[in-house]
This record gives sequence, structure tokens and C-alpha cells, in this order.
Amino acid sequence: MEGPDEVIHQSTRLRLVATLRGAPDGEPIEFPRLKAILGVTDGNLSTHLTTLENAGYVELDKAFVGKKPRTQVRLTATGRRAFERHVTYLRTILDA
Amino acid sequence: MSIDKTQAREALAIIESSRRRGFSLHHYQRIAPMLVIWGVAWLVADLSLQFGLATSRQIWPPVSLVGTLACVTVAVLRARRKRSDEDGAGRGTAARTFAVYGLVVAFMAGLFAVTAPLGDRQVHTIFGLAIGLGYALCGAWLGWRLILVGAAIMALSFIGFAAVRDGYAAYMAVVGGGGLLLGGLWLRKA
Repeated sequence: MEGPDEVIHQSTRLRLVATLRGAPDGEPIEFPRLKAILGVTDGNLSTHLTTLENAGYVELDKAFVGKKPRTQVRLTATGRRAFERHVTYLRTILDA
Repeated sequence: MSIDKTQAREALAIIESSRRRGFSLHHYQRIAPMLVIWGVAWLVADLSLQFGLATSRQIWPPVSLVGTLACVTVAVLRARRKRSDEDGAGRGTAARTFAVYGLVVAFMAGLFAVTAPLGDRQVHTIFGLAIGLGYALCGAWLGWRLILVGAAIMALSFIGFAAVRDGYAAYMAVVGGGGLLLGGLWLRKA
């Protein structure tokens, strides 16, 4: 049995990745929406996103719409697989 | 790092609630502009009727067409923004949106053909009930807020039919149009 994914298991990152996984068709979610959903500060969210980005689990798409900056966050295929593995691991613990 | 059964159960509960919330909020954001558009359309049409500026047959076809085009435009712009790297993003969305509205129009046309002749009050109420039911049914899959918006529109439409005599078009403008408008803003804030 594989071990837990330590990057994903931290509680805020767990909610973050699960929220991104809930978006249909792997659609991205904008940074302010994520912040509101999770109830965290800009800095807190940025820190967790950087950790996930370094692990290759999320992609950040930064662009300007008119003069306003816009950051969209998307779960990568690697992130999706890691998340599903982690969920399987948690279920295995319950079934043991 | 080791995880015991209690921690695993808690983590799975967090995952499930976050996924569900992410799913609902995503769809709320998608549907909110449509509710606002149809809310405004309904207000305009029914206030025109109330003040004698037009008849149902004169006002509803153009308002419906403008509403449908506005919804298709919003859906296409959204699809393009989300998938700007894909060629032709938006064409599929436009086709799906047109198809959905086409089916709704066909259903309502069929319904009124079968049940004719109906008065303006009955047609109005059936629209309110059908639209409310549509949103409530969507809410069964997408989130409880839509169920509440749909159920409120259905209930208020029926109450209006049973209790409001004078100013029925104005009542439906407020209940139907205003209800959709406020519902859309409420979903957007979710």
C-alpha cells in the first residue's frame, strides 16, 4: 500500500485540491474565487499554491484582462492522479 | 507520516464537502448571468404589458430572442476565456445553449398548442411554474440555492394566479423577473 501524499494531505491544500477537482472538465478557478471558497488570505493561498505548483499538481495561468491582472488555477493531470491516489489510500485505511 | 482511521475519515469528509462545494459554486457562477438576463427580460416584457405598451404576442418573441442571444453570447465568451488555447472554443457551447433554448421553446409551444385556448393569466402562470420547475430540477444536481430560487418562483407564480386580480402583469414582473434577477445576484455572491 502506498503512503499518504504529504503535499496534498495538509488540511488547506486538501480542501484546495478537492475544490479544484470538483470543477467540471478540469476547468480552472480564479484566485479570488478560491480565496473566498477556502476562507484564507491572499498570502496563505499563494503559499499553498506555490507548494502545489512546485510538486507539479497545479498550473497557474497569469494574464491581464484589460488592465486587471487575473490568475487562474487548474489541477494538472499529475495533480489529479496524486489526489485520486491519496483518496484511495485514505479509503484503504478505513477498509483495513 | 501515519494516518489513523479517524484522521482518514475526517480527511475524506473534508474532500467530499469541498468537492461538492466546488462543483456547486462553479455551476452557480455559470448560471448566475443567465438568471440575471432572463430576470431583466421578464421585467421588461411584463412591465410593457402592465402599462399597455405592447401585447404578449408583440413583446415576448423579441424579448425571448434577445434573451437567448445574450445567454449564448455570455456562454461563448466564458468558454473562450476558459479555454483560450483551444481552437473553436465556444462553438460547441453556442450550439448546446441554442439547443437547450430551442427545446424549451418547442416544449412550451407544444404545451400551449395542446392546451389552447388559454388566457394571458394562465399562460403567464404556466411560464412561471415551468421556469421555476426547470431551475429547481437543475438545483437537484447543482446545488440547493437553485432549488430555492425555482421553488420560490413556482410558489409565488401560483399564489399570484390564485390571489392577484388587478396588476397581475406587474406582480409577475416583480415575482418572475425580480425573482430571477435577485436569484442570479444571490448565486453570484455564493
